Amino acid sequence: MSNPQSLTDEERGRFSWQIMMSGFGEDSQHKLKQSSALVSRVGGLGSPVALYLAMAGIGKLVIAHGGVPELGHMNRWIMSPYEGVDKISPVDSVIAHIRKLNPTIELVGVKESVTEENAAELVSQADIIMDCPPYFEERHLLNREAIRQNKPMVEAAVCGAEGYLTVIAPGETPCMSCLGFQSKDWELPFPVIGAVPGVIGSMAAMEAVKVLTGYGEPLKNRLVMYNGETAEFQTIKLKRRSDCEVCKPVVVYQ
Amino acid sequence: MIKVKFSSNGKLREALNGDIEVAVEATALTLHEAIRIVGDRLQGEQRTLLLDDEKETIQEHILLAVNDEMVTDNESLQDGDHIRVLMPMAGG
Repeated sequence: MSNPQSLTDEERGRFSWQIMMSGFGEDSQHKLKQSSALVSRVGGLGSPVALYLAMAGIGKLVIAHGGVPELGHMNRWIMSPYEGVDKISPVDSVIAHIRKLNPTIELVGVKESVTEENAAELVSQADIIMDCPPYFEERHLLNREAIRQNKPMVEAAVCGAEGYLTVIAPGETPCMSCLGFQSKDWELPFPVIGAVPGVIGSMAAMEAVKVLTGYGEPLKNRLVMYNGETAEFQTIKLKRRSDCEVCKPVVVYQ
Repeated sequence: MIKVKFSSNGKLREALNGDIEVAVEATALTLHEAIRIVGDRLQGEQRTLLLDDEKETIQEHILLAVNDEMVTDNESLQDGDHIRVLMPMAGG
């Protein structure tokens, strides 16, 4: 009897170009099939994240996003159709789009963005968290919950022609709170050229593939900054804050 | 004389017109002193990107790196060091 979790012949064929990669192989493809990711918001950044994780062969995607696209989103929400502006949930659009590309993936749509009320439940449904919302509050909520549930999170953000990403691994790397990223002045709309979240979102998907499969070297304890204006990347070595209120080591008395 | 390079991103980079050099006639310079010198070149909202004048501190919510390594303390700088300030962004 075949193992339902093993790769089918169709999957071996569909993913043959990445299975042939040195260091990846069928074992990594199998791990990806058994993995799941929460994509928090599928706007400019989350759309390429969801797209490339689905096409890479991840087993399950949980897609959470409240609201509908606005006209100004149409330079970057690559899976939301123009006729859906002000009407169609991006969750519906993304699921419909992805189903055409990967007919075997499990897709869970949640037409809500991350809140205090649903964060724990959403995070519990996935092996990795993809942090793509346009608000610091949602990002810190996901960070806290990912740390609490000991789940890795790919933290990515964009503004203007710039973007950054890093992989947060609880206990191994600084968390978002360690990095201090917060701003009382942040507001929407923010300036952005659509290709920039495309670049950063694609890189974020790649980091998730690495974390989930063990392939390569995930972007832990490093932050990559991309400047689309100059076509330059910078890498900064990160460190944890010993006094971080979110991820400081917990002392367990026995 | 101590000279250090200062790089930033986003609105701060625009306000400073790109990378700048901080040169101080001194034998010692700390990271916070260097950032204050840069902040003093700015006014109004641009200045508050870097400095919190109410608390008389550097803004808490920026990431500071020296020679591409994140720093959390007020480190002593050496001639030729490269300070990098990352302004927070949350665009998705």
